[in-house]
Amino acid sequence: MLLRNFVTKDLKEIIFSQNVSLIISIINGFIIASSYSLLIKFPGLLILIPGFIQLRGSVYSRAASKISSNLVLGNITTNDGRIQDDSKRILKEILSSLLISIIVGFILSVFVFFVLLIFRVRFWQIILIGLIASLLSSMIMSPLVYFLIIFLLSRGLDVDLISGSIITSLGDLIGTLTLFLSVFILF
Amino acid sequence: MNKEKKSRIFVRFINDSFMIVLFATLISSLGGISLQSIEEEIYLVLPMLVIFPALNALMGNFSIIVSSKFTTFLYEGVFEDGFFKNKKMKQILFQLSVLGLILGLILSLGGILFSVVKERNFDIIYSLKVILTTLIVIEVVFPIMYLIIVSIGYLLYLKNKDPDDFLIPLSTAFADMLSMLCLSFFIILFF
Repeated sequence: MLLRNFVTKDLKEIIFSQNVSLIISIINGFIIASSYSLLIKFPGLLILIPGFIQLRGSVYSRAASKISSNLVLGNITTNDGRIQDDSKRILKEILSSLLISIIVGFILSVFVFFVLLIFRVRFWQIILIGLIASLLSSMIMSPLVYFLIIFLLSRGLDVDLISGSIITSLGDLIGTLTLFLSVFILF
Repeated sequence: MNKEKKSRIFVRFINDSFMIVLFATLISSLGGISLQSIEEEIYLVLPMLVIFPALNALMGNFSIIVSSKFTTFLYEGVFEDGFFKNKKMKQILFQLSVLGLILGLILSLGGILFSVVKERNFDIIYSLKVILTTLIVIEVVFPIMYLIIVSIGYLLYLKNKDPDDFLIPLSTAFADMLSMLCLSFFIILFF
């Protein structure tokens, strides 16, 4: 009886989304831990990573949530799996997310550069690393999120319930991978 | 497009979400500073490098769930008996606390497994410390997060601002920062 009260429908949904998110996050952790020689060699990456992955998650889940709200408000409609979006709201949201993530990514890198100065480390290349990673991850995330939302909508699935955890976890993974990729490009 | 229209779009864009995303990102990176300040210790505790992004994601996801439920309950007016006495909210918090312990255990085992495979060495005391650190961080940060969510959410509600717009990015950022600060503290304490 106690267990039946504890395992509610909400909890089942939470467990599913948390498991997907946890698996992607552990893979992300394996990648970070496997690249710890890079973290030692390039100071500031450890400061950049948390902010950088938070940025992808919050920008793109916000876009998904806005698109979902527009669907509820009737600004975007679906008809037999076809999406009616005459005012191109989905595209506009994704493009504004792309712009925000590049600009904030650049500001974050400049912030990390100044924090490193406090640690008496002068490493201006961290700005370039952050900027290139921002451009790369936004270029990957934007079409990915766009097609994911279109796919979910065309299948009549709830964007709010499914996209949040998947988008934030994908954002974490792609954010980390592009940071290391930009290190390889530059050095 | 004329200049005035362009600047209006830019101002709307800045007001809409830019500042909140920037603020949330900078708060998260404060947690990164705490990790950077103990970089020598953290490289010695390899499982923690595996655990920290997943721990951030876990605390962030819990914050999203509590924030969205809190906002819904706030609009439904179910908090008449107070933010800490409401049955529905108490049940969700209890479920998440138990789930946090289970997921934290799985997470630390993943970190320990990685370390064993990579370093070909297994130490039971060291492994128990890794598990204990992860579980303590989850159980310490989670109630603090609830206090932060209630405070910010209620403040926004009183100011007639939609908590949905601000609470999720802010609470996930605070969850990141607090879990990394707490993780750094317990790494220094235990290792």
